Amino acid sequence: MAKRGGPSVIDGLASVRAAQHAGRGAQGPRLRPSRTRLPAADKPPEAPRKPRGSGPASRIGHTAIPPRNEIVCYVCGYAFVLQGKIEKTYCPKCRHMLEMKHFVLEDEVGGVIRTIGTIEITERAKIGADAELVGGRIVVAGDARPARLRAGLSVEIRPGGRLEMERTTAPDLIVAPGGRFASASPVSCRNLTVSGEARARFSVEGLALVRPGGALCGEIRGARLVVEEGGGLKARVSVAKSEGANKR
Amino acid sequence: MQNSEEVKTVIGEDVEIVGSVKSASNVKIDGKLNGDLTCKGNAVIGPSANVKGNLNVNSIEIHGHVSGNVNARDRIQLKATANLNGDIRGKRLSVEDGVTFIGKSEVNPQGPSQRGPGQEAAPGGAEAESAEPVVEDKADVRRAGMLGRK
Repeated sequence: MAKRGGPSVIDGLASVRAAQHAGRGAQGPRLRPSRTRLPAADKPPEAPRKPRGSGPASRIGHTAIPPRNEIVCYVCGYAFVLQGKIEKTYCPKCRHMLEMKHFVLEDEVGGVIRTIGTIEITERAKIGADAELVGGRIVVAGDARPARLRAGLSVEIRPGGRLEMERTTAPDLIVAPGGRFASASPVSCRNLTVSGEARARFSVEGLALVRPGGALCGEIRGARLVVEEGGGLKARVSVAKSEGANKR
Repeated sequence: MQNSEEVKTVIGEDVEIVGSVKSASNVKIDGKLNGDLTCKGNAVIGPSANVKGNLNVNSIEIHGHVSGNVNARDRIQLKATANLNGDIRGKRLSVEDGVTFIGKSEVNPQGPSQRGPGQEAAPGGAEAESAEPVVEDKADVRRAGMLGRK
């Protein structure tokens, strides 16, 4: 309703207020909102809405968890964990700048590559004799025999991968499905995961894991052994909780 | 062993048997057995069991202590509390973390060989040679160094 003395304009809000006022106290018929809502002419009637919280959630919330990076300093060997996306970081111990880059080697490679990320040696890679590859994880799918490999976390052998153990240093050894590893001399490692074929005399400080489809032959000595259903084990085994387990 | 499979013979915790046991059905041992067990069905060696002898079974699930060779036609399961001192031979094997196992294993999903466990191959035989690690073409490793950091 327009105010007295004001402009003689009735906007939408004023008209609604006037109708409410007339319904509350003014004389005349009480105005009440209709309890039944008529369906729109062009739309089919909607199904009644369920009360909130009664059914399954229509929207699932996701919590973004930043990636967890295990890092081993290639200068001092200090291991630490950082979360989130990392390009560069400092070693908390030696304060050396560490670069997190992932390398996929497909061409001729020589010299030194240092990263706390992953180095993947593909089948097409031609590694020079002067190559030194230092990375967090090293994936060998090609001929890496001339190179000196040093992994802070693990070396993974994939099908077609070849390496020289004399020039390789890594705590964990992973034989990927289809990969083959054999050594005539004893091999010591922290953890061993076999999804392919491994044939050697292993001494494992941590866990030796044979995955389904994997086969471990030769000898295995360590503290923990897990053979999953479908894994093969044809070896002399000495797995005991105490260190003093005698070899049979 | 599956829970649905019926165990007809149970050797209780307070029972000690000296001698061989033969059974055509499933067996569960919770007590002591000083002797061999031959079972056409499946066997369960309970956590409190102590077996000193060879076990010839279809499938076996070991929770307790076994000193002897295990020969299974199908599956061998070594549970976390198992303590096995002997050789095993079977078709399928699963080993849980925490097992104590000292012996030789010959488990191949393709099927076991004809020799029994504990029987060595003839010196110079084909399998005796293959038991030693050999250098494969695809992973040409001449000398193994220390992989891990001490």
